[in-house]
Amino acid sequence: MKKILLIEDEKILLDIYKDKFTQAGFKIYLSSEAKKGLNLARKEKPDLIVLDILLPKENGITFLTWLRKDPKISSIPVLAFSNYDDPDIKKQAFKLGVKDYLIKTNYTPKEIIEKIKSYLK
Amino acid sequence: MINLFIVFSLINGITAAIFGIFVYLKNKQKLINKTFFLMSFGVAVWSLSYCQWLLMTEQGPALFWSKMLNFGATLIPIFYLHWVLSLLNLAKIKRKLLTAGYLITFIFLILSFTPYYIKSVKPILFFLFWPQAGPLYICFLILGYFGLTGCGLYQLLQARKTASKDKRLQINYVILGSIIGFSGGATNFPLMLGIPLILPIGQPLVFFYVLSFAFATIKYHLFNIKVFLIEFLVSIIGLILLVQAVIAETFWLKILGFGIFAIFCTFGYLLIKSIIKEIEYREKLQIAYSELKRLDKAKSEFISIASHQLRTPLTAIKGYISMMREKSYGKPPEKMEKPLKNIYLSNERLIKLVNDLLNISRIEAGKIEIKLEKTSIENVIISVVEELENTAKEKNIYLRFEKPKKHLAEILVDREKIRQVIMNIIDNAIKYTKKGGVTIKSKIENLKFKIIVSDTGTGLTKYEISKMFESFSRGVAGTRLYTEGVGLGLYIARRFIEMHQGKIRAESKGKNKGSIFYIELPIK
Repeated sequence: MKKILLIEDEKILLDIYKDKFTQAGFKIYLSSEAKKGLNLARKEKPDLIVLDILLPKENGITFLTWLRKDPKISSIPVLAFSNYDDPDIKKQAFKLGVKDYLIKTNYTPKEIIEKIKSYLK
Repeated sequence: MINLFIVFSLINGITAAIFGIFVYLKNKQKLINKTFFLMSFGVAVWSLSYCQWLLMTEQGPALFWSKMLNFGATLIPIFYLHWVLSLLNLAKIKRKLLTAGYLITFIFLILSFTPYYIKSVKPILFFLFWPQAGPLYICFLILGYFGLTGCGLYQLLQARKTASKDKRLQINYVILGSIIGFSGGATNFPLMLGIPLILPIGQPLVFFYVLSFAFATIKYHLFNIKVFLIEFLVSIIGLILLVQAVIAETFWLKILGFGIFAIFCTFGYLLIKSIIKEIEYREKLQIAYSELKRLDKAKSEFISIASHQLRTPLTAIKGYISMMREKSYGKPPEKMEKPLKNIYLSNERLIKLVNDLLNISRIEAGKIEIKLEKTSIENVIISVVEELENTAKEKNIYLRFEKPKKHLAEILVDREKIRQVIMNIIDNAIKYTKKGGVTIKSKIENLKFKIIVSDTGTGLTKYEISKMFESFSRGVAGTRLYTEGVGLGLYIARRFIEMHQGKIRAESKGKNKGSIFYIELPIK
């Protein structure tokens, strides 16, 4: 069973994706903060991280910086998944190696699952 | 050689005095002006006493003036630090540092005329007399000269990291002036400590600090020194002309001299007036420009955040409704299928509107970037057709992609943006077609990739065609048949195509005769 770490601070969205990801057969780990997410990544070594960008305290970009500095987890693929559509932030995210930067509102949960599956292949 | 030192000291002293007084008179209330004056006062006392001391031929007066010059030197570091802090708007925050600095300086000043500070003067090299530092003077060098100026430099370097572009440049001039000026001044110390290794050759460099501070202020209009320099020059020339007129030998030469003087005064006055006006105008423009840039940044941030906030509930609605329609929560009653679909579609309209508004604001601000990648336009068309197939089916119209017999080459485009354009054009064609259908064709012709979308819909008038790619306008048929949207889609499509150096246009034979949309992209 593939492991997905979802870092998302919006409770309603977290509920939606948790349900959908579980239905799709993934083992899902949740975090609403960057720091906790990083600790979970170190502990669980997920196959993919789905990362929101605007988070409380440290944002998704800071999370990516931390992730890339830790050799044990730096190679985990990350999918940026946010409604924050800022060109500079996008650029930074791609520089830090995200596979894609998806705008949440443009995808149904089913479409997201398809995207995730394509990145896990 | 000594004469050179005297001349440079005199230049330093006079320049510092003139700039100090001028800056203070310009605005007596502002802390930055007051502290600049105080710093210049310190430099003037130091430099003019330096000059006096070098002119002395007897030991007593030489000792007195050397003590005077060091009295001035003691004042400079603390006034410099105070000026730097007021320049950086940190004077209030760093009050404790300033108080400590003033206290140290005060102690040194009280003791500056005792032998503990300057113990004597003695002949060194080609100088008749050179002051010899007492033990307290070493303390001043560590705490005052290097300590306080070091603090000032540190504050400048710290502020530089976060300063705006203009402010950073201004700070650069001040840092450069500080390093040159204080290094130059420091070349006086080895001889005072009995180390004749370095000559006081840095003395002329002190002048550069006044010059660079002045340059920083002229360039950024802190004190309007430019006007002062012109006023000064005009006054000097005027004075020369007046003297010439007064001392002229004949009556007619006097008349001529006074005439030239009067004309010069008139033109000089007009010149100064126009320069003042120009500077004021430029300053206003500069302020307006900075304000505009700040507002533009604030607007972009606001739009990004606002669209994020708008999108979050829309994402939740989209997520739940789509999962309900996919039966993730069990099969919904049949009669709920249509309402669920309608909620979903309404939500999609809102999502599209937010996306369009965000795109428009970025296009208008020139902040959209093109990310070119090798793309198969045919595959993009296929995926769009697949996505819109159901919409066409529900309207009982056909949606056909007539693929060329030979596979067309991939071209360099921003895939997402071109997909958005094709989606918009085909989606529009379906919306405005009640009977018949929509056909899409693609071909390469004259080094151009062409996409043709034709429909059998309501058609367009010439007026509608001329307006439809403009911002915030919609074809009249749009109002009559279909009231969704605010006419942003085609405008965005045009701008995206133009960013690819391509063209987009529409044709129609008239009402109810359908429309044809042509997209042309250069092959890269």
